[in-house]
This record gives sequence, structure tokens and C-alpha cells, in this order.
Amino acid sequence: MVEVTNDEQLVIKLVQRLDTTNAENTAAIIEEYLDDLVSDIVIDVTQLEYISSAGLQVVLKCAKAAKEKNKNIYLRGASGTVKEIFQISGFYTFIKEI
Amino acid sequence: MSKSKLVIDSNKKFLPMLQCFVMENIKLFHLLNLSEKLMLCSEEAFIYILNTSFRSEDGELSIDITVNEFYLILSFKDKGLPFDISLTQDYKIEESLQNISTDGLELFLMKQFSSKIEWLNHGNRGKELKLYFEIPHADIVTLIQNKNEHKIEIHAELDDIEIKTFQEKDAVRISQIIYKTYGYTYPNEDLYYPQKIINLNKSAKLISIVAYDKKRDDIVGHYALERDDLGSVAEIGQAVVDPNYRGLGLMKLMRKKVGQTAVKIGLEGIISQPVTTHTFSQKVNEGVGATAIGFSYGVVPQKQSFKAIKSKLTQRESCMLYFLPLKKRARRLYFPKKHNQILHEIYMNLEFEYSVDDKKSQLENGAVKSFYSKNFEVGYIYVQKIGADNFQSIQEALYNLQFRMKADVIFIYINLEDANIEELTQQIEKEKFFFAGIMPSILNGKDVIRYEYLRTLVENSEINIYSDRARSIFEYISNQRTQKFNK
Repeated sequence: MVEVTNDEQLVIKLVQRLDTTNAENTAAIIEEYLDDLVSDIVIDVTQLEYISSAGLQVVLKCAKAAKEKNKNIYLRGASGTVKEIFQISGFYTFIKEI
Repeated sequence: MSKSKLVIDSNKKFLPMLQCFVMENIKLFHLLNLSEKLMLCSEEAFIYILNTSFRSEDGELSIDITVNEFYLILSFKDKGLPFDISLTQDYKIEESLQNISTDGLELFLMKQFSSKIEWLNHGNRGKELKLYFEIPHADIVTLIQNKNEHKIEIHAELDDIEIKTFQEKDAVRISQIIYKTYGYTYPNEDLYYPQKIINLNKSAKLISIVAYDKKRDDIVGHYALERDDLGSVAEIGQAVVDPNYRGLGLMKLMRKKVGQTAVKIGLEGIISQPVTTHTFSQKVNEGVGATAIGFSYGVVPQKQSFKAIKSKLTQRESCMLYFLPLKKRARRLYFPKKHNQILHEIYMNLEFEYSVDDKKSQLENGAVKSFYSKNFEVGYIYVQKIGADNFQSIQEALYNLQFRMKADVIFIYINLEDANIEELTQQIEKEKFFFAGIMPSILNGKDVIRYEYLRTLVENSEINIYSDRARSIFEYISNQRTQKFNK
């Protein structure tokens, strides 16, 4: 579901699916890191197979937290339909692809 | 056609079960290339309905999957809270990140990842959200890829040509002629897919007539009758002639054969919508005895262009609306007072037997259906039965077509054989709709009065009308439109 490492950057690795059934738990896990955010955020979706609007809400929350703390947010490893969903939803206007 | 059904409680914990059901259907029908779209849209639709129809209420949803030769249709039926879809916010990306909200994102994604969406209000039987997913077929460019098309000068004579009914082997050539004539701008995308032409003909939703060059063993023209609902009237169109064969009068010959076919299968009449950038097609229609019955402002998208005739339309194309009666019939009709005179004029021109009544009947629950044509960017609202709840259903459908589907043109068809028409048409006239003529037998066999709401600029200066009779109807409709603008 989600693996978080907090070194030079806060890397949030989303795995397999991020949907209605797990978005709330994922958001809760990430929240404590966002509260004490001191570095840029990297959302790693290399191993993410499926994301829905519920999952996008989690990513949006991260982007808003980064903006509030004057940090950058990046998206890593997006491909196929996951990338298409980010594109169509306009998320690339506030999240940089690396 | 194949159908399966799942009934689940209105609880998000059933999402995995729903998606398993969808996946099993995908496997069963070998539609793995639709799996990602279907997984996403099934979740978005499910959550959208839970949020709007149930909120914290308990209830159940019935989910149907229907597969036919063109679409996989995912349908959600519920009897939850009635809701006003106009209150759902449109999803949009704001300039300021802090202002971005994911409200409306479910619906936005459904629209983006499905072929079309329909909202149906079944009155006290609940409501239904239908998502259509087009089954992929190879299009003509894929089929002719790597084949170099050489430009050949052909000097055919009329004796070389036979006008005949469609055979499956003709489909590829029909798609090629469409591509050769219109490039990729022809609004009816089905004609770029030979397999779809075959399937549509098999289902009798399309009845194709072709011009065949016997000497060169080639299909050189196409004309067709179309009727999505397999009803008693069909629309004539999809007319195209290979540019090498222009000037031989093939259109006229195919038109005649199409007319004979319509009589043979027992149709009540033929509808046609000739363009108004020129008067040639209107002349052909009047030549075979068709009568003007209405006008459609901007019904053809601006993207359509003819490779060999005109580079690009300068505005959406408007069409005269004609009807060719093929059978005697008698009707009891209810004319809205405001348009009484023009309606009499149209019906007398058609030489139909009819009587006009003005008695009201008891209002029951109404039936309203809406449809969006993605190819033409046109929305349709059909009032099948006039009832006490119609106007609200119409407003919901209108909002949906206007703001979610972004339809440039919206038509509303109201049953002219329903005794309660007066009050509803008065309400419609207070909205942005203006009178646009009639269509006989089009709505489950009933005649309708049509109104149009035009959401784009269409100049009258580019409209050409062939006959005085057609001009009289066009001018009436044009005045109605002007009055609406000046309000």
C-alpha cells in the first residue's frame, strides 16, 4: 500500500493500489510525516498499478502540505494508465515529474 | 447480447466484490484492453452514487453488465435519495493549489475514461447511471497501413455501375471512401471501422446501399438508412461517392434504391437533414417528394470538412429537416397554442391525416431520457411521457448535457400525442429553447415537437435554403431564435 522513507527527501512509495478501500489508511500513515515536513516530497508510483480519485485526494493532500511548507513535490515512475490519470486530472500543473 | 447482474449494499467495503464482478466479465468477453478503464470507472461510479444517493443511508445497488457488438455497458441502478446533479460541482484545476478540490473528480474521470454516459430517471422506479465502453475494432487507417494508395485516373461510365445492397466484403472499401473524401473529419466515426459497418448492417440499425463498379470490381459509393431504435422511421444519410466517380449521378441512383428499400421493409417514412452550405442536397430531397418539417441550427460539428470540396467549415453546419412519408397514417395530436399555425402548415404539407385535440388528461409520472452524441457534440432530451415531474428531470438532463458533456447544441423532443403538452411547452419556452419543427413517428412511434438550445454562434448569412416552402419554415424558426436572443 505505502512505504515511507524520510531522509534527504520524504519519499512516499505507493504500491499496487490506492483506492477508496485504502486511501484513508494511507493518508493517516502519511499525515504524521506531513505535519513535520522539512524536505521536498517524492511520490514514487513505480510500483503503483491502480489509482482512483480517492488516491488522487491523498496526493493532493501531500501537494498542499508541500506548498504550505514552501517545499517542492515530485512524481516518480508514472506510466500507463496511472500516468494518464495524473495528466487528465491536471495534477502535472502542480507536481513535477522526475 | 449478453447480460449479468450483481446486487450489493451501499457500502464501500463491497468495492472489491464489484471490481471482481467487472473483471470476470472482462475475461469472459476477452476485453482485457478495456480492463483499466472499467476498473477505474466502476469505482468512480460506485463511490459517486454512494456519496450522492445514499450518503449515510443504507440501501442497495443493482449493477448490470451488458455486452453487445459495439459496447460493454456498465449500469448502476438505485432507489436511494433523489439528488439534483446540478448541485454537484464541476471538477476543475484552479490556478492556486490551495483552492484545488477533488469535488466532482469521480464524475470527471468517468467522462474521460468511458465512451459515453447516460442518466436515466425512472421516476418511482429509481434512477440509473449507464456507462458505455466502446469495444475496440481496427479502424481503416490501421487496416490500410503500409499499403501505398496510388492516385489512379478512372474514366468510368454509368453502364459500369450497379446499385446494390451491402455485402460484408464491401465494408473496408466504404471506410476507405469516407477517409478519402473527408479525411478524419467525418462526424460518424462508425464508418471508419469496417467491422462496425458490418455489425450495424447485421443488426439492421444501418441499412447500406452501395454503388458497385462491375468493370473494376470496386465499391465506389455508399448511402444508408439509419435507425438506432429499429423504429418505424429511419434517417437517410452517410452518403459518399468516390471522388473519381463524381458527375455520374450516383447519389441520385443510390437515393432511389434507399427509398425502395425503405418501402420494402415497411418504414412509415424517411427523415433527412441536408446541409445548408449549399442547396444541392435539399434539391435532391425535394425532387423525391420529401417535405420540410424543421430546421437544425449547428447540428454538424465544425471539424467536418470535405477533402475535395471545401477546406473547412467556418461555423457549425446547419441542416434543413425533411420527411418523406411512405405510408398513410392518421393521428390525434395536441398542438401547443403558440405554434398552432406553423404546425398546421407543416402537417398539411405532409398531407397527413390528423386531428387536433386540446383536452387534458390526468397527469401521472413522466418519462424523460437523455442522450449525448459525442461524435456530433449534440445532446438530446426525449420526453416520452408528460408527467408532473418532467420539468425537474428536464432541468437535470439539461444541466448534465450543458455543463458536464459540454454539448454545443441540445434538442428536446416532446410527444405531440400527449394531451398535457401545453403547460410543459410553456415551461420549455421560458428556458433557452426555441421551436425547431417536428419529427413524425420518431419517439416510440409517436410524433414529436422539437425545440433547440444553441450554445454556439451560427450566422444566418451562411445558410442557403432551396425552396420557398422550406424558407417559410426556416424563417419562422429563425425568428423564434432571434426572439430568444433578444429576451
